[in-house]
Amino acid sequence: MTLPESAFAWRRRRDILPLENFDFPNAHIRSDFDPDTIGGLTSPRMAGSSFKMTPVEIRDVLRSGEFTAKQRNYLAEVFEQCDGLDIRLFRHLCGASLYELARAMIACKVRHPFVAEWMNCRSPNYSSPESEKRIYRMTGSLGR
Amino acid sequence: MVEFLDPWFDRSRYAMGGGSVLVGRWGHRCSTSIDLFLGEHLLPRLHHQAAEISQKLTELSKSAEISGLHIRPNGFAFETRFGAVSFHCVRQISRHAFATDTEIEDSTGIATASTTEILFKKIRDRMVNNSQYLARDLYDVVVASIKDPVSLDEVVHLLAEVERKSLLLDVQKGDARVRDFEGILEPTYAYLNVLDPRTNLLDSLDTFNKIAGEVLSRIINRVWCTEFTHDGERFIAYGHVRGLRPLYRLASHGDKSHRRLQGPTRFPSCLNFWHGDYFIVSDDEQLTMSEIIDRYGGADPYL
Repeated sequence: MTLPESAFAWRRRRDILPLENFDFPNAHIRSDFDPDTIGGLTSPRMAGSSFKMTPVEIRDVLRSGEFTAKQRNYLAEVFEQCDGLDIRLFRHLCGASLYELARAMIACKVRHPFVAEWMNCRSPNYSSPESEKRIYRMTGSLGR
Repeated sequence: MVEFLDPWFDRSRYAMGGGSVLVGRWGHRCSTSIDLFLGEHLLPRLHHQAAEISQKLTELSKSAEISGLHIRPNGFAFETRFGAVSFHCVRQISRHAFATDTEIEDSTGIATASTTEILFKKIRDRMVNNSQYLARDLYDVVVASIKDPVSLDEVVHLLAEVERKSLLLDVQKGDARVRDFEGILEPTYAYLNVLDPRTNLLDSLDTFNKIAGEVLSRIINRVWCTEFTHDGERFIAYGHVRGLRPLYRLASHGDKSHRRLQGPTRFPSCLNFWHGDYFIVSDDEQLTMSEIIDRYGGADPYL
């Protein structure tokens, strides 16, 4: 059993891989859209924000890839609050493709360890650091 | 919501918490959600009733009375036309988790969680355990350092050593930063500048982030110092903060206690001050950093 290098290793913020890594056929298939679930993942968590987005707006913005500064900040905070289960729900019910989701996360400069690692794991060319694989499997089902 | 929960949970078993309660106490920002928290020891009971509660919630969801229903292993959240509501089973950390003796909501009889409890959940559950630094949480912590430092002090003593180290690591890496400055400025966080007229925290994003880092760093351990001249004698003022319990002194170079504390690791090269810090000048006189600067001169890093 390989233990992580440090108990704090998982806290290391990381960049999402360049968008080319998510440019493969399956990544362009758009998922279903469930406004209720997306609303449940966003509204209660962003109750303290002056700027609000409806699930339909979120879907449209993800698909278009064009964000205002407020939308970028809103989505960045939404992604930051996702754990392993939430980000999967979001990915499969947001009505956008994996490529579009990756594009949004890169635009929002998401660097949160859970979310960035989960997204990077979607790329066929990426493998989690050996020292962190066990952590992510245990804590967030963030493996493939 | 409360009536919905009545068949399963007595109203004395849960409390209202989250940012909305802090907003009610300090009036520093807006919040449109109601967060109800149930003690962790009642999680088995929640699981036992989960099927029945889920069924009722699903019925309400279908009848369009609620939307965005989100059921989790430890609770659920949904949105109504009045705002978002969440009900979660979480560990209560302090003995005085419910401020029952002071605040009880009149119409429902629901108690509100103590400030310590709310701040602890923000700091430990989000910042420490999940490395999440949300604008509103950082803002709440900064305001707490002004409005209720005693509660923030209690939070410090509840954090484990490894949790403090995690927080320190993130502050040092620069992760504890707000990126949404517009959201802070208007209209949600418009009250920030009136809290302390001397400190315009929102002059720039960098200033706010610097102060947020300062406040979080104080949670761990921090020493401040500055130098000034009074009557031809060179003084060093330093504040030693351990767990937010201030132990300030003002000492000249000849003071023994100063020599004892002075050292390369004790005094960082950068000078950082918090305007609310009190420096004890003598036994019967306390001065803030601003007052010291006014009286003796010196540089104010925030001006």
